[in-house]
Amino acid sequence: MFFGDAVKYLDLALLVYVVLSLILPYMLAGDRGLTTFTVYVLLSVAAVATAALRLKRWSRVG
Amino acid sequence: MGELIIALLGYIAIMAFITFWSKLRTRTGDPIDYFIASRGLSGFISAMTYAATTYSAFMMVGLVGLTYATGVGALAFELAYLVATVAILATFGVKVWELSREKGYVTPTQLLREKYGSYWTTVFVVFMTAVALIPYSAVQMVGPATILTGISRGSVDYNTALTIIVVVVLLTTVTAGLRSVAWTDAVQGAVMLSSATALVLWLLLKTPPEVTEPLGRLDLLNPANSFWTPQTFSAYTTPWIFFAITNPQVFQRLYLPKDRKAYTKMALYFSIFGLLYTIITVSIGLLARGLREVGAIDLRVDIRSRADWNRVTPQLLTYTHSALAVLVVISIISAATSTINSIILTLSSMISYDTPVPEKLKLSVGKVFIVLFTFVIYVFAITTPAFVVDLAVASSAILLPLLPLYLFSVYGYGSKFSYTATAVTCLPLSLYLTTARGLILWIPKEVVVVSLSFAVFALAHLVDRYLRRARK
Repeated sequence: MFFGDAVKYLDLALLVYVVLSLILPYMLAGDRGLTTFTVYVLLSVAAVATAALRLKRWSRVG
Repeated sequence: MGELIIALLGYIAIMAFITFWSKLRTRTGDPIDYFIASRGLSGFISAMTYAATTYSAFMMVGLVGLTYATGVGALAFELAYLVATVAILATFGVKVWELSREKGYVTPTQLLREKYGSYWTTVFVVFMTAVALIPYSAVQMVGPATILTGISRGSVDYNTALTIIVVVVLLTTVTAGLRSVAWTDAVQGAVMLSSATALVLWLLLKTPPEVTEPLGRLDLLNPANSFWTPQTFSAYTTPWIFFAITNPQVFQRLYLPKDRKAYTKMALYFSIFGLLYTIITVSIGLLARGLREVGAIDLRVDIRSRADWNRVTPQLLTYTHSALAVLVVISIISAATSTINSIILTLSSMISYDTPVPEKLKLSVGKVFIVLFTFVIYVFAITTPAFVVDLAVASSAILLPLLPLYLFSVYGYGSKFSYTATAVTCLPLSLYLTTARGLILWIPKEVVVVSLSFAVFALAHLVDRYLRRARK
């Protein structure tokens, strides 16, 4: 039960990251420093970490 | 130029050695072993072939130039692609991997054929996929060949450069199929990442700290500048965020890991590779522009001309040590050949498995098609007719109607009618829309194609259900 719920939240988080990656350029509009660079790298790291957690659970179940 | 010739000979020798080493591990006469290595690759090799197949010569040539001209929006576009691919690998990808084991699929289109039950629609999908991907492969050859000719100052002529790429593609693909493609991809992926790292380190050593000032002043650190409007950003990202699903050579790589642990490793190692490679290539473009603005280097690139953007990397290499320039040129050839050989092998497996080919002849027909496809690509690359360039640019967009087909087939929705209706109407429409010149739409063509494909699929599915109920 817990596993199923956790996977749902992880899937939801991945969807949020994808949507964020598409709208972030317009949230960060006007940047003259390295904010966009930093935010996108952090977002990608968060997505990779979430995917890792999701896949670890899946590989353990199998 | 002696260094370049030695490096090229060394590169071909290493590719040949790995290919024949892989041949020793291939089960002779078994098409499943030839096309998908009996679904038995380790996580690391799966990840490297996934990365080398996905990241083509576009990264070190096209993306560097795009970043140089348009700024950090290129990072947003490329990392949006990576985030979407990571999400696909962690969700949709695991379902595809499980289905491939359960049903014994070899090709991506086999999944469509068996799920929806339409043989001739699948033959049509295979044909349209080849129409989109063969010109794309030809353009992959043209870029590295032009750079090689330029860097060697004519001592390696254009046709010789193309022949070198064709030899490596044929050698790695025909000899041992997927095993040699995957192993050479692993080495080529390592060359791609290490050469890009060396180039960015060289640039960092040359860069003064005040370089961000001109980049900020020119609006190149603004992800929503005059180039990256919402229309442009969505036109670039729409085909790319679904690339892992719509492009068969990438999709087929989901079948390769030997077990769940190997699949997990493939997804993670690919993600790390993709993140590093994207940050590095975008940094090369930004640093090159910054150095030009502070007057440290003099790159003669006309920002107003899009064709000129591809000249950033070759011009940058004229400032580096010749050994670094040679390494980067080899990495660009590696990126191109590792993408082309995967496309050719996947297309030939689709011809063998999804068109009327007798079981006994699958392997022979596949090998004949590899040679035939390579020859067609070579001819396109030599002549480069204008329509080939249009098709290559539009290749990912042309394949967008496959998105609802693959997506719903895996989750068990749709019918033979919705499959046929979407493929037969949306693939030709997508080909027309994405290659038509002078056609101006308010919404990007790519978004129109995706929306229409989902709409046609859903509508055909509903009509089919209604008719079935009415008949009962």
